[in-house]
Amino acid sequence: MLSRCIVTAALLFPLTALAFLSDVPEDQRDITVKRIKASQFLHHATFGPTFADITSLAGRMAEIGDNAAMYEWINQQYAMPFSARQSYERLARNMIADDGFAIDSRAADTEGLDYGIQNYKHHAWWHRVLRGDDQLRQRTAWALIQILVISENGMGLNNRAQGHWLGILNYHDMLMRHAFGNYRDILQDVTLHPAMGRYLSHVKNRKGDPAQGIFPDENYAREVLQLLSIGVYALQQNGNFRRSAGGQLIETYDNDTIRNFARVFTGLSYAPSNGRDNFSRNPRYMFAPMKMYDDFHDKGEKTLLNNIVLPAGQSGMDDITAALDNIFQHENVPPFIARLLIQRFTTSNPSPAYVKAVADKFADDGRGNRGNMRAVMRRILMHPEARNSLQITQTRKSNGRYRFTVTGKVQSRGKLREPALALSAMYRAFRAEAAHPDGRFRPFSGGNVTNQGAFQAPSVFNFYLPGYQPAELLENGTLVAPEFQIYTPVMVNTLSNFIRTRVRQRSFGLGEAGTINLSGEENIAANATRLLDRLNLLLSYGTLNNTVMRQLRDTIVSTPKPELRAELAVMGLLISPDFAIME
Amino acid sequence: MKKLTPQSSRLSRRRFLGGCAAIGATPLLSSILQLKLINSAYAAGMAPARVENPDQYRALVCVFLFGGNDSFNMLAPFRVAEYNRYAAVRTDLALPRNTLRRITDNSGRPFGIHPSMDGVQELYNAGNLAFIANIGTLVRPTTLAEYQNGVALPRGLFSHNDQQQAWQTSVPESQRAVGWGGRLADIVNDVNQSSLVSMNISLNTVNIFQSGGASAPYIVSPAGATRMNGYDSAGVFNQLFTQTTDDVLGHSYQNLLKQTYARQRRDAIDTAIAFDTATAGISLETPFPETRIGAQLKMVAKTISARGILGNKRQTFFVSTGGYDNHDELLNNQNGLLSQLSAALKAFYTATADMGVSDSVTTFTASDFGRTLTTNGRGSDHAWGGNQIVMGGAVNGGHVFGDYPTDLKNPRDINNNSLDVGRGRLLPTTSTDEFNAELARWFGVPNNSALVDILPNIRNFHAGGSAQLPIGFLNT
Repeated sequence: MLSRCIVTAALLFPLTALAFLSDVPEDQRDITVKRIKASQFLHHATFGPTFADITSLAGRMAEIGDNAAMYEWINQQYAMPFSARQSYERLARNMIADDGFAIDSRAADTEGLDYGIQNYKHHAWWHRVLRGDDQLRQRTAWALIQILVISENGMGLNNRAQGHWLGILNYHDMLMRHAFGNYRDILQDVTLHPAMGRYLSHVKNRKGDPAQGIFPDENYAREVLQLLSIGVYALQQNGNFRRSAGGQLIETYDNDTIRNFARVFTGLSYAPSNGRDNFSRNPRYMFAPMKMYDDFHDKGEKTLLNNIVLPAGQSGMDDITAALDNIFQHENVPPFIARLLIQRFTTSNPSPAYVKAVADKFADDGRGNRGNMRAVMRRILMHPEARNSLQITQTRKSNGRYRFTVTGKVQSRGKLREPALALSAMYRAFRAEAAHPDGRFRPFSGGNVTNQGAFQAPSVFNFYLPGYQPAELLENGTLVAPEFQIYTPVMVNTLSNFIRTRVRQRSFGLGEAGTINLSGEENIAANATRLLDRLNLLLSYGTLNNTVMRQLRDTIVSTPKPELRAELAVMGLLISPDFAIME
Repeated sequence: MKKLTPQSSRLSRRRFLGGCAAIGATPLLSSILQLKLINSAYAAGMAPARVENPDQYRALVCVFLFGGNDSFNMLAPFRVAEYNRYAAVRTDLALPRNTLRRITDNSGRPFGIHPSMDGVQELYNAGNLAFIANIGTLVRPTTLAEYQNGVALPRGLFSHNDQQQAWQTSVPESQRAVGWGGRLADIVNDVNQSSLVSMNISLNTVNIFQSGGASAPYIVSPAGATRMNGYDSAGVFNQLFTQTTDDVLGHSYQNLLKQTYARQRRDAIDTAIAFDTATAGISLETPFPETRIGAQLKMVAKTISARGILGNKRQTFFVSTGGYDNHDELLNNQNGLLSQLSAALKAFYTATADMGVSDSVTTFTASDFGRTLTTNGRGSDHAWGGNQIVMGGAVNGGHVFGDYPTDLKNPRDINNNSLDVGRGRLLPTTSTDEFNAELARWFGVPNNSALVDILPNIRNFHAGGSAQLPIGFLNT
């Protein structure tokens, strides 16, 4: 079977058509290496590349050098604007208006809309993810909202009345705006955003009244420290724990610290609206930062991190600004945020050197700025542990051409692809099109398929914990793999059933009547090796295991039908560990 | 927990494609063998444990209330003097006394169950449900002075994820996310027949409780297992699809994450078929409420019903529900949550009675932590000790175990030492270890080194060899 397959391929195709990975002519060797690297880079930095994206970046790498071309790509992404045109909230509002609805339309009252109006936030998310050129900004915001979590599940953030649910997109737009800005500004605007104010309940949190046995709400105070900035234990710059002389972990704060920060975050209410300007009675308003009402702010002295004291009598906003400065200057912030961001882009288990390199950039971008997201993101994407993680072997074959073998250099590196990004990669690779004449996608979140619908984290602890260890990895002791936490047996079969239906029907799914397109695969399917090479480069940047590749080829050639070959090959790749785990 | 399983069906389906396809079978077989070896190696390091009553069926059901249940409103004082102290500390969070559901414990002391928990009250009065008062995570018995000096404390007190983990590991000083239910399964699984389906079943979520050295939970949804469509099904395309799947998942991968992924997906395919085959035909006569927690407990009841087909004498279950982190809107939200919990518990108990296994199934609640007795004006904040429920025919029902402080405004232990670590955060007077040890003993674990293997800190609370149970809420 194996020999027959090769003979068939050789007869049907001119040899120059075989030049993806398995049969590369001498003069294509360099560009093949660049395509592999370009594909890996784009899988790290975007919601998934198309074949054209890979070819284009590889071409530029050939012109100006690998790193120069990737830096150039990053800089182009940095230069793309974030304005109303890129706003998720604006897009959702426009689509609702175009479709003849209102932001608080009830499904039952509105002909043609048989699901919650709130789903337009998912329409907007998918449309921007699949069509936006500002891929890195969107990926960065997607990473940030997994650190600075809000969710449509809980605390009434998804309420339909007066379009309050659009506050979630307003929050996301805020993260988009700061994605290439400064983490200090992120902390500021997150703290003051009404969506976070509701989610972690510091909106309308008032100063305590100890005589009456009433104390400030500690919720935001605790989570801003534990999850949004410094974490529970003192860290070295390389992300490893600091330890006391006795070898114990060192807590970064105690409960007294929390109670002091709780007093800082008092006095905030919704921004005035509907003619009301009153701490207690302001109606919910999701589209402007919360307002400080000093009468409801605790003006007492407060002891913060590293025993920094806020003097009594400061205004509420001065207290908040000083407290966020206190947090931001804490030595844990660079390694804590560096590790979380690295985990979202390139590897679940970065080396201490990698964490330190990113943390160093966070601490000082080289011009004395702390928290510069551009410097941080550039370092995450361009660190050798990300860019030089692949072993690319070229084996000269008897016909004088080369077989490329791509493997990870370190067997503990890489990360499990986030399920939402597995879907987006599929849609982008296979050139999804929306059914609506305006070209905009209108799908549901996909949370029932991925366990990772946008804005649907089950709690402020995100979809998964950064330190989650699957049972099989527990034996190893230190290796973590957060995304495994949501790849449950039900989810993996549901996801593969979903993908199977999409691939067989060429349909988008998730309530969107659009399509995906496998013509690029069908057109070359007569040559199973070439078909698999194309998919291998497109989806797994050449890392498909050689043995598995041979087995897949032998399976696929059992059918002569190009459409079936394409479907089997695509499903095989999308199920394979070499796609799921990004080495 | 997986045991070696016959490979005939998997091998036979490879035959239609001929010789080249069989290559994939070798690493597949070896991955299951490898798991078996890990199993034995782990067990070999432990003291030989003779599981008591191996022939009798037993199931433990953990109902985890994520977010930290405000459990001094689930079980409030009722005696006027005690209630007044409760009202004094809770202020706007106090439930009106005349709305509480009055119960008495064995000593005649009255308590008030949350008004929305009629089912729980019925179960309590029928002797099938008890409460454990002021229970929490402890490394060893701890005084207020020791707390203030940071002596031998759980890590991450008052933090959701740390305390969720501590409840599930019962080793609150450790970072290792190995659950006591997993260690329990490592020891007692010997009494079960070989099965592809773990004796630890979880609804919807991965959890730490059931993850042990050699054990991992099998996760299903309230609808049961989800099979991989077309896998091993008739038709040329399905056969090729099956082969394609076997090709990519059967390989032995060098990268550890890839190997983990391949093994988990492989298991997900095979186990779904086994679980679905065992449970698909089962329908329950007992009605369940159509709530998230109701649907989960219904699936638990179905799985218990399938215990014979699954070949299990011992099973654990993990169900969970969120929404308990009420810094705001506490009273409203808790009304809904506890109402759903109560109705689901009642239905589940009734189902076990209808199946004739109510004496063999013990259900217990757990939660991140109790909450501050004092208010933040709208809700309560993270605290420590709280109250929990145990339910089942084997439970000494109609009793409140542990030490429920008589004066919540100035809470003290039986030796008159203060329990208030600040803002009405209660230092626990009963440890999760004592609670879990009693459950493990009932499950068949002898009070010897086997119990210590499961609960490494238990000897700080409970002497070895003692025939007496640590708390006394169960009949063995």
